[in-house]
Amino acid sequence: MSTTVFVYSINVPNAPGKWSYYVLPLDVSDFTQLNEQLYIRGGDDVLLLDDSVLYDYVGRPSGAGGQVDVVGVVQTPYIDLGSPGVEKMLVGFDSVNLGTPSVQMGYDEYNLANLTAPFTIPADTIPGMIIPLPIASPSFSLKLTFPAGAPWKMMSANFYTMRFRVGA
Amino acid sequence: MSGIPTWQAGTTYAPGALVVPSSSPAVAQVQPANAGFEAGTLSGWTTGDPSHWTISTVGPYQGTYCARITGAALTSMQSTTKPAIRVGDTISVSVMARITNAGTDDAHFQAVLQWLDGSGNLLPGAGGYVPGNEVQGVGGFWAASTASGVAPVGAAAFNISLSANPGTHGSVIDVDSASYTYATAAPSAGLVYKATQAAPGKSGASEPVWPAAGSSVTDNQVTWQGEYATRLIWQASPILQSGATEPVWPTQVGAVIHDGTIDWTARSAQITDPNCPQSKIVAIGAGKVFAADNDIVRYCATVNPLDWSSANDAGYLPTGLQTYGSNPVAAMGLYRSNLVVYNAEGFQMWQLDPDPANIALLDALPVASTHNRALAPTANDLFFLSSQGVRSMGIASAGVNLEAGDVGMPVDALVKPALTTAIANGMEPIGTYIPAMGQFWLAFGEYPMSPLVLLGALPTAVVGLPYAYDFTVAGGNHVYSNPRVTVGTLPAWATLTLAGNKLHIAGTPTGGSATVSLTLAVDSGDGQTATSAQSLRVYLAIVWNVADVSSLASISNGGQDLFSNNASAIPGARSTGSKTTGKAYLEIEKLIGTSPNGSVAGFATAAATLGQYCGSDAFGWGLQFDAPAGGYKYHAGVGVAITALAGLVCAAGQRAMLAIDYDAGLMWFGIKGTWDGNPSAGTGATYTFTPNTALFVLGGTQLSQTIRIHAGQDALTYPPPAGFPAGFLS
Repeated sequence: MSTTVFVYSINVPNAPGKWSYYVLPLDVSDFTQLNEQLYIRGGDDVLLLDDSVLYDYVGRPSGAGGQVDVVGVVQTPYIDLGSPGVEKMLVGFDSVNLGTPSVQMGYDEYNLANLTAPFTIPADTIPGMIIPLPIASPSFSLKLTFPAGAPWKMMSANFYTMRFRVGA
Repeated sequence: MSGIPTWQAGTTYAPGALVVPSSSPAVAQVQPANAGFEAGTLSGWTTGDPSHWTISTVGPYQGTYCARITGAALTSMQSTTKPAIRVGDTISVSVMARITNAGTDDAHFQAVLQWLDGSGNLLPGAGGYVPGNEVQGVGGFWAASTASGVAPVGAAAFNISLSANPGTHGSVIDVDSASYTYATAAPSAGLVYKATQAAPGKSGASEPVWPAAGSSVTDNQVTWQGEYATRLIWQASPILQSGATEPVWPTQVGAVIHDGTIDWTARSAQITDPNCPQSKIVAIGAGKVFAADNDIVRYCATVNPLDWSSANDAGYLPTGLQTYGSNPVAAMGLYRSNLVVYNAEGFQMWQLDPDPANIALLDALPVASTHNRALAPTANDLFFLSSQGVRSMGIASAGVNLEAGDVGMPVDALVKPALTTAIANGMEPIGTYIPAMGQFWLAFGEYPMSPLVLLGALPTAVVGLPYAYDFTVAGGNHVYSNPRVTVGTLPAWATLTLAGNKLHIAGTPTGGSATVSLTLAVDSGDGQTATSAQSLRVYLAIVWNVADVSSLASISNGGQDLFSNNASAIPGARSTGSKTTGKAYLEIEKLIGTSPNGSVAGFATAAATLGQYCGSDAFGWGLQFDAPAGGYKYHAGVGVAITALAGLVCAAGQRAMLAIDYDAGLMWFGIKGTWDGNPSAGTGATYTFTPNTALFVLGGTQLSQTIRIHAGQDALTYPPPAGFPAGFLS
C-alpha cells in the first residue's frame, strides 16, 4: 500500500509555488481538516500531519504496518552553469543545510541514474575549504539525501567550476 | 420554598418573619389505575366486550404485562380512574400500542380522551371526546397514540378510552403504559407569609387558614400577610433519564422504544425529496446545495437542503442545453463564488444567487476535468486535475487550452502516469487545500504500483473428489489477463480461469496418484507478469483390493463395497494400499444388512488371514461395529468388549471410525461419532502396535451384508480427530 502525494506550496507572495512529492505508506482515501490541521485517512487508519514527528506511524513496532522511516531527498534540476551543452569542469561545491545529508552529483542528462557515489557532508561546509568533487560535464544536478529521524532543511548550494576554453 | 421555615405552633415570630404553610397538600397527577396492566389483570378498566380483551406477556412495552385485543370487531375499554378537573384545564392522555399482523394493514387503534360530567357520564355530542392519532398499518412495533384537549363547559372529570379494531385478518393489538398529563390548581410556588404585627408575638396552637396573596390572617398574636417572595431559586433535576441498559433499537422508521423515562422514535436522516439526485458531485453556494444529475445540476431551496421541489426556489441548471454541456456533469467546484461545472468536454461557469431568477451562465470553455474529488479551491483560484495534469481556473480561462503555461506543468510528467494508473485501478485522485500551510495536496492512492504477485499454494487433491482453489492476484494496475501455465502441463481434468483478481483452478481428478509440477502466470495491464511455481499432489484413496480378497467375498462399486453371504467366518479383503508413517482417519459404513455380529474392520499386515474376521490372528486388530451389546475389539483371536462403545451398534447406513498413528504405534476405534480413547490427544488407544509397521485396512462381513470404505474418495460423516488428515490416501 502506498500513495503518492503531489504538493504545491505557495509560500512566497506573488511568486510561483514549488512542487514536491511524498510517498505515504497507506492508501489515502480521504483528507479532512480540523483546527488548521490535516487528517489523512487510509483504510482504518487516520493520521495527523505533524511536522514535529519524524516518522510515519510513529510508535508502532517496525514491520508491516509499523513505524516507517521518512527519508528526505532534494535534487536540483540539471544546471548548465554557463553556456548550455558546453563542457565545464566542476571543481567542488559547498552546501548549507540543517541536518547532515548524503551527497551525490548527477552529470549525465541522458541517463538520470548516473550519479556519483554518495558520501556524507557536514551541515555547513562553507567554513574551511570547498568540498572537492571534480567532474567534467555540460550540466550538473546536486542530490542531497537526508536520513530519517532528524529534521532537515536545504538552504543553499554553491558550485565551483572552471571553464575549459575561453568564451565557454 | 427552600430556605424559608414552615409555620410552627406556639412559636414567637418577630415582625417581618417569613413562613410557608406546613399544611398544603402535595399536588400529584393521578394516573390511570393499573395503567401498564402490571396487576396481570384488567382491573381498573371496564369494557362492554370482555371477550376481546386479555392480558398478554408477549413483548410488553414496559414491565411484564400488556393488554391484548383480538377478534374482528371494533371494541373499546375505558379506565375507571376519572380525575376531577376544571373547565379550561389542558388534558392529555396517551397509551402505547403495537399492531401485529400477517401482512395486512386493516387493524387500527387510537386513544380517546373522554370528558365526563359530575356524575361520571360522557358529555353528549362530538364535544364529549377527543380522538387521538391513529396507529395503523403493517405494524410490528410500538407506537404512541395521544389525545389532547381543553376541558369544555360541563366537564368535571376525564378518563381515557382505548379504541381498537383488529380487522378481519387475524391481527392482534397490544396496548401498554397508559398515562394522563394535566395541570390542576396548586399552591402558588412563590407565596409566603410575612409577620406584620407591630411587636413579636406567639403563633396559635393550630395552623390558620392561609389567605391568598395580599390578604391577612390573624394567628393568635401574629398577623400573617400573603406575599410573593422575590428571590429566585434554581434547582436542577433530570427531565429525561435513560435506562440502566441500552435498549434494542428498532430499525423501522416511526417505531418507538422505551428507555428509562425516554421514548426514542426512529427517524430517517435521508433526504426523501424525489428531486434530490443523491449525487456525490456536490457544491454549496448562495445558500443552496448544488448536485449533479446527469446533464443537469439540481439545487435545493435556499437554506433548506430538505426541499428540492419548491417552485421559484429549488430547481436545476440546464447545463446540458448550454455550450460544452452534452456530456454528464463529472465535477463541480467554486471559483470566486461562482459555480464551475466540469464534464469530459469542458466547463461552464455559473453566477450563483439565492434567487433562481438571478442565476446565470457566465462563461463556457473547452477545458475539461472528470475528477471531482481532485478539485480544490486554492488561495484565490480553483485547482483541478485535467487529463494533462494540474491546472488552475485563472490560467485555463485565459489560455483556453491545457498546454498554456500553468501551475501544474512542472510535474505533468510525474502526474500523468500516476493519473493513468489511478484510472486503471479505479482509484479516485483526491485533492485538498490546506490554508494553514499554503499547500495544495493531490493524492494518488496505490501509486507507485506494487509488484504483481500471485498469492497462494495448491492444496492436495484426491482422485474422484471435486477440486477447486483460488489464487489471489495482487499488485499491478488491477487489470489482469492471460492466465496460463508457463512450465509443466495442467492436468487434463483441470481448468484454469481468471475472474477479477482470482485465478481459479478446478476439476475432478482422475487416474492414479501423481505429483504435477507447474508454473502458473498472469499478466497485468501495466505490463507486469506474475508467476508462481506450484506442486500439485494428487492422492488416490484406498479401496478394497480385488487381488487381495477372500474367495468367500466379492468387491464392487469401484472397489468401495465388500459383500459376503458366508454364514459365520466374516471373510474379507485388504485395502489397495498400506502406510508405514504418518496418520490416517477413515470410516467403514455398514451399507446393507440387518443381521448383527456380521461386520469387522480394522488394520492388519499383509500376513493376516482373509478367510476370517480381522483380528482373528496376531496380524490384525479389528473392531466389530454391529455387535448387539456394542463395540467389540479383536486381536490374536481374543475378543474384548469396549467399555466406551457399549451399546453403540451400527445399523444399515451408519459408520464406524478408524484412526491410526503409524509413528506412535497407536490405533483408535469408534462407532457413530464416539471414540474409544482420544486420538486428538493421543491417549487411550484401543490397540498399540510396533511403530511404522506396514498396515493395510482389513474389513470383512457375512450373512449377505455389504460394507463400504470411505477413505477420502467421498464425504466423511464425522470430523477427523485433530491432527489426522481426512482419509487414507496413497
